[in-house]
Amino acid sequence: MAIKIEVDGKNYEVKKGKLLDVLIDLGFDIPHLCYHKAIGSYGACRLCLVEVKENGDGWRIVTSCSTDVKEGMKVRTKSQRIWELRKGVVELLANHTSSEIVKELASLYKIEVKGDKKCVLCGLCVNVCNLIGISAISFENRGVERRVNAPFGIPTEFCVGCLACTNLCPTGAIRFENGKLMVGDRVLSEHKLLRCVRCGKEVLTERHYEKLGVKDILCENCKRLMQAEKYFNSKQL
Amino acid sequence: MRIRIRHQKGMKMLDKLKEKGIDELYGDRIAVGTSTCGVAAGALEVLEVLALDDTKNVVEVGCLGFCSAEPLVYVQEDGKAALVYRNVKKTEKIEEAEILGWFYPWEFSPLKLEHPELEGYRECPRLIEHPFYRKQVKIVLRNCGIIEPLSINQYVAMGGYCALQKVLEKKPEDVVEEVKKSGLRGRGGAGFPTGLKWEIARKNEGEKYVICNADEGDPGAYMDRSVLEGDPFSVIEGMTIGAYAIGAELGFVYVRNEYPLAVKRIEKVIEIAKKYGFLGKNIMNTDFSFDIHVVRGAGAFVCGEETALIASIEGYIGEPRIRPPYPAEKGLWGKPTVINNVETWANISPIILNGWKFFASLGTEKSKGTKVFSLVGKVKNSGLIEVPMGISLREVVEEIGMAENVKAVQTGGPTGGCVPKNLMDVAVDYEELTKLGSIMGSGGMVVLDNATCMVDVAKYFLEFSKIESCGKCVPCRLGLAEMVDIIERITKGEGSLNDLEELERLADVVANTSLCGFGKTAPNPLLTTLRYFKEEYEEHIKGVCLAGICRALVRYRIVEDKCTGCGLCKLNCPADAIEEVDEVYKIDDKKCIKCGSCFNVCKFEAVERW
Ligand SMILES: Cc1cc2nc3c(=O)[nH]c(=O)nc-3n(C[C@H](O)[C@H](O)[C@H](O)COP(=O)(O)O)c2cc1C
Ligand code: SF4
Ligand code: SF4
Ligand code: SF4
Ligand code: SF4
Ligand code: FES
Ligand code: FES
Repeated sequence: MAIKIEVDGKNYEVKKGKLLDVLIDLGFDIPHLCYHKAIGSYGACRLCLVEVKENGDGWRIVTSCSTDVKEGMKVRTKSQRIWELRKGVVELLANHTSSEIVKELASLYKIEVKGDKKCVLCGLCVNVCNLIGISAISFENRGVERRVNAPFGIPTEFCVGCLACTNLCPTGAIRFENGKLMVGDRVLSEHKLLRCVRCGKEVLTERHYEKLGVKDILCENCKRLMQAEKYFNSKQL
Repeated sequence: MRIRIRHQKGMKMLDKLKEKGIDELYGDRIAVGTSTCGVAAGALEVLEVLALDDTKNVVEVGCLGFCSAEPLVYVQEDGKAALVYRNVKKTEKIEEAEILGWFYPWEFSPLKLEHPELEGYRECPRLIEHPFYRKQVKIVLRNCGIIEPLSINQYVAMGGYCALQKVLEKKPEDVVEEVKKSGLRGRGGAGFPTGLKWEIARKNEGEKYVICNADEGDPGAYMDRSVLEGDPFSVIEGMTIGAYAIGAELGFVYVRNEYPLAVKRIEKVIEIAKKYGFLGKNIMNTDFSFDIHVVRGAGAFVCGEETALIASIEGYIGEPRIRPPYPAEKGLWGKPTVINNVETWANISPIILNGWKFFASLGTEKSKGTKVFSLVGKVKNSGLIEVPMGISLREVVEEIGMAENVKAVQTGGPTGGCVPKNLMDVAVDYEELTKLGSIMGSGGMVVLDNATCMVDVAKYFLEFSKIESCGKCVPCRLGLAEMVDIIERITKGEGSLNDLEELERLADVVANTSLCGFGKTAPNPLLTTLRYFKEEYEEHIKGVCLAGICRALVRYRIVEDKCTGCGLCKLNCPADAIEEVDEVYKIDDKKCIKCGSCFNVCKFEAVERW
């Protein structure tokens, strides 16, 4: 059923869901670092701020990633107030971190990037790992000391090396290098890499291979080639 | 849930317990307050000495709230009322201690109680006329310091479990209605209407839970601890009533691990209540069953935030989660959950017993009933007080606390604000305090006197918040850290007027974009001191701390004309910074660590701070 909402003075008919998804589908540019549709709201980056007005109430500032669209809702994505607050948050990120995405955001607000660390603690890596049922990595420490790590800071054997985390990371802070899952200079997990049986390229970690339970180890490329070969062979018959 | 009532048996049991309780409460006894506060003042040693006389009935009770008078002992003998002795020492006979006053053990309770007549004392003052007690109205603390905390007899004699019995004969929705009409609002800080919360949870279907939030993490606040230690039954009775009202069969008490005595007491009363059929299966012979588990808190301040607390019970890191959904819709394990503060729960049975009108008649239009505060800082009478909402801060501070030279009152705990002396006529009321930039919070009240540096106060609380921020969301994690950097600069005399604007801007971002109530309120100490004491910030920027607190900005010197050459300063200087030169003393600025000892010890006012 279509829901009628008003965004920045214009009327739209949308499907139910999180306001952030809806706004992005409508083509609005709402910065966000910690939300992913598949993972759900987490509320850490505070960038997806918008103002909403419902029923007879006044305008409220909310994070759009955690707000459900409702019939008759009015939304402001570009007010002076939103700009001020969002800029304030971007500035904090730019003072303490540096990554492509933060640089991009900072340039929008004409802010100088002074930080050095990459990780913005968006939580996507930790949350995706939790969601797939592995929970190999987590946050440690409080406040400014907070960081992503393996439990007790010891490289964990629970990580299978699926790399869901590195794929979702918006900043490139969590990365897979030479068989090691790393954030900053911390090693979160170490892996033995298995090679593609056809071309010999390193494609998969041993633990991931065991978990997946596939027969042959093939890289994407060889998989496709073999598929094609099979097809041609069958044609020739 | 349909409730069948076979209350005849239940009633008989209550009567029996009550009878025993009345004998215990009003018979001969010597009571020693041995809550954590009393123990800290030496109550256990006093108890030990008193207990040597085995002709006497010496009992341990909770606390009467008067911290600065602890150890507190009262004697009830020969059909006479209780005579209270203050600051009792283990080395003296009890009669040699100073008398604080006398009271009837029932007179603090708002409930109508059966009791024998006791004779008062003509020659000494009544406790309820003492400045510390005169303005107090006890609902939550009705039994604290009166009953033995683990005695179900005495709890029942003070009206305990009568409310539960009454409730079990009512429809759950009528119980919710009663609480709603009373106007009770959550005492854990946010002040959300309790009845409304219950109603939301009641309307949701399926399995439900109730939780008692006893994570009290405010430094210097101990309202909840005192109730858990002094009257633990009142909390679990309140929870049982709440569970019945919303349709829950399981509850949790989440207590800080730093409260070992509270943990012990609450665990014990759960056991006792089960034995007597007030908890567990078929409570008071009805179809209603309810059980309570105790969970120990992990110690972080933020774990007291309701969603963090729920995460913690579920076994996750105690970090706040996004709201909505609110716990009353989706709480513990995704089920509707009513989470209330200790003090909120302790209010429930008096509301049920005396009716909502009784509760609603106390307080202001929007803040009903009473509130417990821990009154500390620069006051003569410090302690735990319960006052009707709407009383002015001035009455609390100057009449109950008997404070002098007050500069400001910090209310609402570490994320509350400072109300300056000239605004102390404000009524204690959720909305009124918010208007001034402070909050009711959970009831911390710190009185600051003229010797206080307000910039230093703001710095202290900001540092606390920086350390306690869980770090999940960007503004609170990084914004508070930047604010601390700036304010530190200011207290070293290295700040600029721009810094003040920057502080205000950061405070605005943190307060308005943070995820949970912690970040939203953490800038309060800064914002209120900037609002009411801006000149002190400006003085610091010019390099002056008039209160002489900010070390980087003060210097000490000895005025030659006044120095008698006694050398006391030199003796007390930890840094060996004072030298004798021609029979007077001089301070070596390079060595001085600005501890102020010389300034404090010099009897001739020869040491100057400038
Ligand atoms: C940082 C933070 C700490 C809190 N600590 C406590 C606490 O120690 N005890 C408490 O009862 N409520 C605390 N609260 C409030 C709870 O989130 C919640 O509002 C309360 O338990 C609800 O109960 P009430 O309605 O009876 O007050 C805290 C809130 C925040 C944001
Ligand atoms: S690579 Fe390891 S840490 Fe990352 S999501 Fe997969 S299992 Fe979790
Ligand atoms: S490593 Fe990447 S995904 Fe993980 S918290 Fe940091 S920025 Fe987010
Ligand atoms: S506001 Fe502070 S305490 Fe609350 S979630 Fe954010 S970082 Fe944690
Ligand atoms: S202020 Fe302290 S360190 Fe300095 S001279 Fe006096 S006693 Fe010594
Ligand atoms: S995307 Fe909404 S808070 Fe991060
Ligand atoms: S006297 Fe018990 S809390 Fe202070």
